[in-house]
Amino acid sequence: MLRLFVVVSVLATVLPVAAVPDWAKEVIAQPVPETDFAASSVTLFYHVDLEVRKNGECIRRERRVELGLRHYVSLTNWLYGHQYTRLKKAKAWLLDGDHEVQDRMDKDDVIVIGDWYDGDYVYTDDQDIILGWPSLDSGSIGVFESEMVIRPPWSACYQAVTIHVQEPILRAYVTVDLPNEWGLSYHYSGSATDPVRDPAENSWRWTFGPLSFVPDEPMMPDWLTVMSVLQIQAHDLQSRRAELRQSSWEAVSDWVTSIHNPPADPTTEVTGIFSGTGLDNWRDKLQYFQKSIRYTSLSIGEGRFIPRSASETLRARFGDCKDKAALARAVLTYSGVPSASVLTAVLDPFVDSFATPFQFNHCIVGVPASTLHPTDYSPAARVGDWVLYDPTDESTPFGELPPILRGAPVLVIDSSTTEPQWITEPTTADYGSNQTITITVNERGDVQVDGTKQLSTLTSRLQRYFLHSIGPDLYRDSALVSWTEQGWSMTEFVIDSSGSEWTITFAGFNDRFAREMDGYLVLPSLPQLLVPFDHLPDGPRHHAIDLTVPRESTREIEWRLPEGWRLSDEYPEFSYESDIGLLFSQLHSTDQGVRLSIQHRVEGGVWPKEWYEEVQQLGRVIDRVNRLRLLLEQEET
Amino acid sequence: MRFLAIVIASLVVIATSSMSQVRDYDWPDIPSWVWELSTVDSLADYDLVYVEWEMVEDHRELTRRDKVTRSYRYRWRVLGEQGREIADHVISRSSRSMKVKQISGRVVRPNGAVVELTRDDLRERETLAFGDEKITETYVVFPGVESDCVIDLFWKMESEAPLRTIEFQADYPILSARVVWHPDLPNLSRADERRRYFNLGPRESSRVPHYYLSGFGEIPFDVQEIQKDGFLETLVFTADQLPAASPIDYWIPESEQVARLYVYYTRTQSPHEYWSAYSKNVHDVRHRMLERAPSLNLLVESRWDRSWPARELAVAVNTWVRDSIAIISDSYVDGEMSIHVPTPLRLEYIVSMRRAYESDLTEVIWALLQTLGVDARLVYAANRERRVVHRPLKLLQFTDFLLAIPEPGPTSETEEFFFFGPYYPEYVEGQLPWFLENTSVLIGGEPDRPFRPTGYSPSDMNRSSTRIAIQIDSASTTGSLSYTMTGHPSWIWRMPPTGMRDEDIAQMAAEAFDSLWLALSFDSLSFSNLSDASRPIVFDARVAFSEDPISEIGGRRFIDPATYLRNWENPFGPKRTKPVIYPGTFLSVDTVVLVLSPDLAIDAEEIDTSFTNAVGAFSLHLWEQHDTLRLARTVELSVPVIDTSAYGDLRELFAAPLAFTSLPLSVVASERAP
Repeated sequence: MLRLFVVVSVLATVLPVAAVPDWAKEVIAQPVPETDFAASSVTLFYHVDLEVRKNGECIRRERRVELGLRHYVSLTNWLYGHQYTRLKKAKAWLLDGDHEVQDRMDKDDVIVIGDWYDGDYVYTDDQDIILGWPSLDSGSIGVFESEMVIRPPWSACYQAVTIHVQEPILRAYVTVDLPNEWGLSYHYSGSATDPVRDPAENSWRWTFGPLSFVPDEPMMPDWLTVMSVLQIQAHDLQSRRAELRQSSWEAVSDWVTSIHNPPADPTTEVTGIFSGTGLDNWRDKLQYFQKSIRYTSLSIGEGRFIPRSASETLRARFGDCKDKAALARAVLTYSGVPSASVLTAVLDPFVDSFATPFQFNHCIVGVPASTLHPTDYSPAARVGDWVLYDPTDESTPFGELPPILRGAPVLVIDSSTTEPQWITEPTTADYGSNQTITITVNERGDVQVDGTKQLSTLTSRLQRYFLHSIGPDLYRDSALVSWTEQGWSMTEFVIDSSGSEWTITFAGFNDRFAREMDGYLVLPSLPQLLVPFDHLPDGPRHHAIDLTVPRESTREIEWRLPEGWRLSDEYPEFSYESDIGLLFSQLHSTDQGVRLSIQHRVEGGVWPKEWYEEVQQLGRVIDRVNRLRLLLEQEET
Repeated sequence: MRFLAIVIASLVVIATSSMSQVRDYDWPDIPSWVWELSTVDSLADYDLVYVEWEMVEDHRELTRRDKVTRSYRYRWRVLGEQGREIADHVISRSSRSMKVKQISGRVVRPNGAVVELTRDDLRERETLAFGDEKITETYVVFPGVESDCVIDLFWKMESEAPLRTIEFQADYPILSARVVWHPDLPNLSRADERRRYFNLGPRESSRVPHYYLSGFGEIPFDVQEIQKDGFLETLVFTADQLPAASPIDYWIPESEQVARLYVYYTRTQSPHEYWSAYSKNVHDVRHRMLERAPSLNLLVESRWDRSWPARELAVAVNTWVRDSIAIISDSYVDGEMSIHVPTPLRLEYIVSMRRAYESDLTEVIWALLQTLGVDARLVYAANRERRVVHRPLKLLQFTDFLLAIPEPGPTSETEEFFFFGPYYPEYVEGQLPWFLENTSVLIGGEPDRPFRPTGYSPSDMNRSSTRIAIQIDSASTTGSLSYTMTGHPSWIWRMPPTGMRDEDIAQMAAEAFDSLWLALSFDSLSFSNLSDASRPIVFDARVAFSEDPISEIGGRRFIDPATYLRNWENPFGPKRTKPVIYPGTFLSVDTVVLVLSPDLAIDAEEIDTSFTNAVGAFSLHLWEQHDTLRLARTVELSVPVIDTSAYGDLRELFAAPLAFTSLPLSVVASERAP
């Protein structure tokens, strides 16, 4: 045995490094066109081949050739739930600028890192598989081959291929081979050639590229919505397995019904808990569980989609969104109120035309509106015939909707469901605030501030959520940070949260805030009156502009001046108005000094890049108002 | 049948894995005061408190079985809604060398109701796998947690690797901390076994463990030594009222501010003895290697003249090694350990084949200089984020391996050594590399005084200056910027990662500058003298103005030149209990020149303000000169280590520039009369 070991060892030392495969040699032999300077690497070739087998198992083969343009390039990286996926093959070659093989890796060199979502409280079995060199010098080439086997699905035969995020790609292909009689639904979020289908082989082929470097830009939409992803879902309408028949939203709903309804059964453990609690009203019961079940997600294995039973969630006193929804539905059933599970996609891109459960990331509950009185709920919480309720958000009771869900798509898991519906988008009035500030100035330049801020219902709800999430101390610090960072000492901060619209009262002082200069008294700008836009440089714009949520506000700031002082001269009005929003500010004298009135509105949403100059202009006017300084002079005696 | 037996045996093994080891535990009673903790004022800011934190490390079977057992017991009191959310626990371990033998837990509510931890409340997964190395995490997610409950957790594991350092959790206060340490008893001690585990430093071994406490500040930590048959059997460390960590910026590294307990087996009685022995050994071991490489003489005789001054020889050998020896790869061992392990390649092989691991280069230079008769020393240093702390068994805190020769040094505190190394080719006369300033380095062959404090360069060696010229007329604003730097700022630019192109560096500069000057955006950027260490690096740029510099206020046009100065931050709050250790001295000189078009006139009040205090100086000057308005601002920090008594001066220095940016420094420009 020892002799054999020695022979193998000697062979291993004298054999040359394995040559790159022929397909890669062909790619490397092609000339590389000039690429964008900002790019760190360029993908010369990328091919993903998906082979679906009759039992739904999917073989995913990838080939990639990447050219390094500067240091520190991460070459390949996959994400998957490890209980379902097995890495069968992984090979990589590192070539220098002369195309000579410098290094080689294989499956033994793979690094697997458990991936986390949202930090704590969410435990998943996702993993990153990394095969590559930590650094790739300019001119070096990485060649990769891999093969993964994705277990026969119990959810849906779904695959997503991220084609393009930021670095340029010369050529990319995705091919899909299906068993005969199987169908395919797909969606691509970028621009690609239409797929070519070979009906005889039931195979599909997409071609991508060349795709240019995509820059980072301020106020751009989230990369998740900008990057190009091909999603496919294969289905077999003849299958006896519901998870393989998901070719439409009805079919998705059928499948989710089969896994969401049993856990929502009102067992005796659930019904028994209310005896002696005095909780007679089903709303109170819902709220009791909403608050007493802490959020913790065990999204491991089938726990990614299947809720734990209501009884188990009750025992454990923790659960994720679908667990809490199942428990809430059990309570509703026990109380004689019909309900449905509702899937939604929070902040993620969503495509109506592509039916798959993989587009959703949150689960809530729907109650038929017909069983409720219209005063029982906010109109914003209603979608079609359903009133939505989120048991996960401990700060939002039944009848109201968490702000984050506004504008989101929902799929009500009910036999009447044929397609997703959309929750009403918020308006500018929904995210509103009115602020009144009085600033008293003495001749030394010391100032005292007293103010109140009234928040609209949705803004109050959002603040309530933050307050609940981070606790009162951090909340106070974050609310006052713009004041305290600029040297103000805040002496009062009181929230009146008795109604649905909050009122915040605050007070503070700043010694020698105003400065005397050349006989004038200069009042500096106040801490961030309006939320500024990011710095938007001039030059061509690549991305659309994300103005986030619609919002509007008014500000009334009154300076009470020391006796014998007045505003020096007239001040201009700052104004801007267009489809994206408005800003109007005006100064006028009062008996005791000066008053500044500001009206501000931003429509929100994502605007085409053609509006970039308008957004810049509004941003500049916001800056001017935020930087407004007042010049005071002494009245003539 | 035999196959079936193997299968059954395998299944039994699987069934007894850690996931199944949820057992009952005899929990201590919960005193009534624990339930009243929610009303204790000093805990009002916390959502959770460790009522008890206990760890038992047992080495008594180490030599016989190569195993130690380790157990932890925590008792938490949840103090509110937020605490309820964070009451889970993750047990992380090496899959190969550590096994969880038992996990027990329960949740107790104020009414006495108990919810026991069950196997269903545990989840296990691999979170890292690389070759044979695997890390497994067990998620303990407690059932029945409410906002006012008590949680008990106990787990025990068996490990092949003894702990040397115990780091106390620091997120929340601990009311009572206890560590019980059962050392490897004398009758089990075999010197070779001990050396495998403990003797990274001195070669002598001892039967008595020693310990060292760090990061406890003024907290009394009681140590009890329990003896049996004349030998130490158990060490018990106890402390009450450990506060939650509250990291202090600009001081020793955050990681060193956390409470730690080191227990190590060595004859040495103090950290000084430990490091003294290490300094001696590292020098001696390399010398022994040198003795086996006689042919180095041939190389040095053919290339260098022994009569040269030591520094010239040092620089010449350093340059030759850097430029002549090809790198096989970074190192043959992972991470920071690479700088402590002598090269497995023979020195003769390296210099004849001109191939080495990158981590060998320092050693090769050292060997060549020794052969030339130059008294070169090996030097261990840490980058600034991992400032050296003089504690034993912390070899891996060092990140840099370089060399020194004894001679009067360039700065006030380092008048003993000239430092050099293969990775830092740019030498600025009179200045240490930035990461070596104001720290400690371990020097080989200096057992009497292994650590040497390094000094800091004077502020004028760390000068950065900006000159911004701006042309303003009624319709447009254009300008240019020149940024010059010497000393520390230039080290960053003179040491780009291997393989970076000049264009990449320019791109990096543009991105860095973009954050320095919010008011400017760069149309073009060029630089010079990047590779000429004898000259300051100069960045020249054409800039556009992303903020309108002119405000209309009260019918007057205000131009604020301070808008264009670099962003300035004051990281120093009103209270300070520890000295400030700033990265180094600096001298920042900024000038803004506003050139107004003929249709504009300047009506400015001259400003001339300055002060000098114990840590530095500040000046700001605004004046009119011909048709220009000029602003000059100088900020100089001349002392980087500031005691609390001078903290007010430091604050004054950092606050001064802000006073002229956040507060109005405005000059009035009005339309010139026709």
